[in-house]
Amino acid sequence: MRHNFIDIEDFSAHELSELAVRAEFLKNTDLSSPIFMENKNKILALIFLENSTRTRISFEIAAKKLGLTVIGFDSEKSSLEKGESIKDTVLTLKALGVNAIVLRASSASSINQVAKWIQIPVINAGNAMRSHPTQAIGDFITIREAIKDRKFVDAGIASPDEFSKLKIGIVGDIIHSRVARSLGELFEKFGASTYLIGPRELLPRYDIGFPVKMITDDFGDCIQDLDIIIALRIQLERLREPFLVNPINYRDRYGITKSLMADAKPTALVMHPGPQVRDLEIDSDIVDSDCSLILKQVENSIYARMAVLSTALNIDIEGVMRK
Amino acid sequence: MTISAKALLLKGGWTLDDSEFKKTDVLIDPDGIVIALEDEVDLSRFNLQSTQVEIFNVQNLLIAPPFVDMHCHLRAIGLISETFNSGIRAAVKGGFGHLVAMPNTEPAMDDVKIVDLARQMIGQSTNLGVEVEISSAITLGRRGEVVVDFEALIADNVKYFTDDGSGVIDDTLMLKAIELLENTGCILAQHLQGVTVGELGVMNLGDTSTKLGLPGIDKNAEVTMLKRDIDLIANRSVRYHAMHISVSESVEIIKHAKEAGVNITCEVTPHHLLLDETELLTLDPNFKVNPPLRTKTDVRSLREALSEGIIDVIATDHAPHRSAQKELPIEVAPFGMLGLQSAFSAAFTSLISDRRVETIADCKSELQTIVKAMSLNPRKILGIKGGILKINEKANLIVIDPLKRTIQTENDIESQSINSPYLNRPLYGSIEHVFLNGNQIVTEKKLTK
Repeated sequence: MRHNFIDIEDFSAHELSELAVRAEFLKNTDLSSPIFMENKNKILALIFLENSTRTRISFEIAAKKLGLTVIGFDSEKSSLEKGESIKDTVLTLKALGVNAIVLRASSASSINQVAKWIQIPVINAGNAMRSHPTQAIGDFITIREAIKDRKFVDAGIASPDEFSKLKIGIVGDIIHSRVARSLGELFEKFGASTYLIGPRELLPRYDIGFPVKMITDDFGDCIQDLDIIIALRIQLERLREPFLVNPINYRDRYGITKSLMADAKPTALVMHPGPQVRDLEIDSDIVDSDCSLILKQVENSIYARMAVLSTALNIDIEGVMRK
Repeated sequence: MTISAKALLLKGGWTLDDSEFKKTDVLIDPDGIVIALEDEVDLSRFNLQSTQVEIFNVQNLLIAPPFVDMHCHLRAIGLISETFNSGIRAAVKGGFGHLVAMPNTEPAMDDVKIVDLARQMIGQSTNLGVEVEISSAITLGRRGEVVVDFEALIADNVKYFTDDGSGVIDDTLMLKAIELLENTGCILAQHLQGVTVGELGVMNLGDTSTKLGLPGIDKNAEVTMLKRDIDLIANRSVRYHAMHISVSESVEIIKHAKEAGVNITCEVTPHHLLLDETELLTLDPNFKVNPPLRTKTDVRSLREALSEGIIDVIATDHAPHRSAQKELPIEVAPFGMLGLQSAFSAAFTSLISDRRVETIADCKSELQTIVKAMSLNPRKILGIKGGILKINEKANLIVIDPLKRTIQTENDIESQSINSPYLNRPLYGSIEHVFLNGNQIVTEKKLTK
């Protein structure tokens, strides 16, 4: 598999499945295995040029579980603030012997540019509104797990091989969401149907780059069909115009509430990539209920990132798997 | 005449008039004067031994008048991304003999003093026979607040006014500029963009920008201003020129305006003829340009409009930027791409499209379109002589091999910057020889000076 991990669309369904299987193996394996002890001479740089707590910590834990040596810096601590270009920073890191770079950037292009400038693996931890591929892999694992836990048997889906039968709604601020784009690309690879629901000004006006079964500003059009509802954070910081929908209306029309779930399939499950705004995008009692996969998403994000990092750094997980 | 000086014979090439190719040998004497234009020159008629004549075999190549670029950024003043020298070298390799330099320098060229300074700098550079015409801003500092001193600038022989890089957004101000330039013979050229650069997105607003999550530039930024300008210039004797149009709607609007008798000309760039928004899928800032690369439909409309003569001119919008600038994140990297050296190849490749071309006769109409748009029409608009080869005049001509496939590399670039969108992309057509004022400046694609 290629060593860079930038966009979901760069990978085949087969490659993505392999990553999921690898992540699932890592989740169920004893990480005290000696193979993980041999990795401390591999150095991973975590460069976060945009605020992030969850993703950064998740990557750091993933790297440490793999036994990697992690060095991390964010923009206020690095020389980027002093005007050093990203190019100089990554060339310097490479010269210092870093083996791979994880990059979160507020620019869509930085990750592609970095991949061009240095020949060590580059992993995308979120680039502007374009992609968040490791989040998508984590969510993929979470959905596969729910299928294996027989959560969708009543909906006629009993094995991850039947992923294509899933009807998945992504709700809210689609237009500004890198998570929506990466998930949409992933669902396309596995043939699942994607529904986009949200206020008109937050829905794409043009082709978003993956097939969409339905795009609607009325949840009533599809709530009864959905197996999975993925709520997104409203990215106030990315809104160029003042947000036109008032919060009370938003919760009423697009919030994941008990009254919405009353119209959904009894088997329907709810996800949110976080950080969620409780009682706006999703009600507290839903977050904490049995239909919520939110904490599983957080947990699985670590194994998704371990799978991606170990692939990028050629760590022989398959060797461990065979033993 | 020195002993080494030889006459020069371009043998076996074709010239192109309005209707037909004509096989033409061009004989140039050692002083650079064209002394014969015949389908087969008989040297003995000129008392010339073959040892006294250097013969260039230009069989199946096109002999055309040098190109004229109505729109290039030569920087030089306050900017290091190009010098007059390097810009001229790039231009001449691209087959250009005349350039209009845009005024968005630092500071902007908006008064007589700075225009004269630019001319002085050009005078001190090795100009290789290329004429560089300095344009002026329409408003002071290109800020869109106060018009420049048109009278003084016109008296100083400035004939071309534009705020290029920005449009003149304010209606009243634009109307004032129109009134002041009426009946002056000067050109009022508009960069069609109804919003400030700060409000601009990164690329065309559409499918590709939505997929990438990049802020889009609505085509209405161009279309709305074009409609307004046409309203303002109707029934006025001002010479209005719409710069680098990029969308189908602009073509339609200009077509109707021309039919209604409005005094309007327009240009398109080679990159808007060849490239579309999907180039941005690479997220390479070298494809970030203003106006942005548009849709495949727009590209098709622009090609058709050029062939039909609705679009008058191909102009490069040559915009050098240093690598350090173009290596910034795409959201903040500057707009613009190189254009002078590759203009012919890019435009010709776009017009040929996917058609199979094996002989020069297969691409006659495309060559005709390009010679008109890159040489004859801009000459008419700018009032520049030349364009027809004549006996007893200094040789001003270029020799084009339309069938040669070329691939530009960084080493080929004469500019001070390398932000070419065509690196490592095969294009049809190359400029083989360039003669300006009787001097051979380019021989077999190489500068002689």
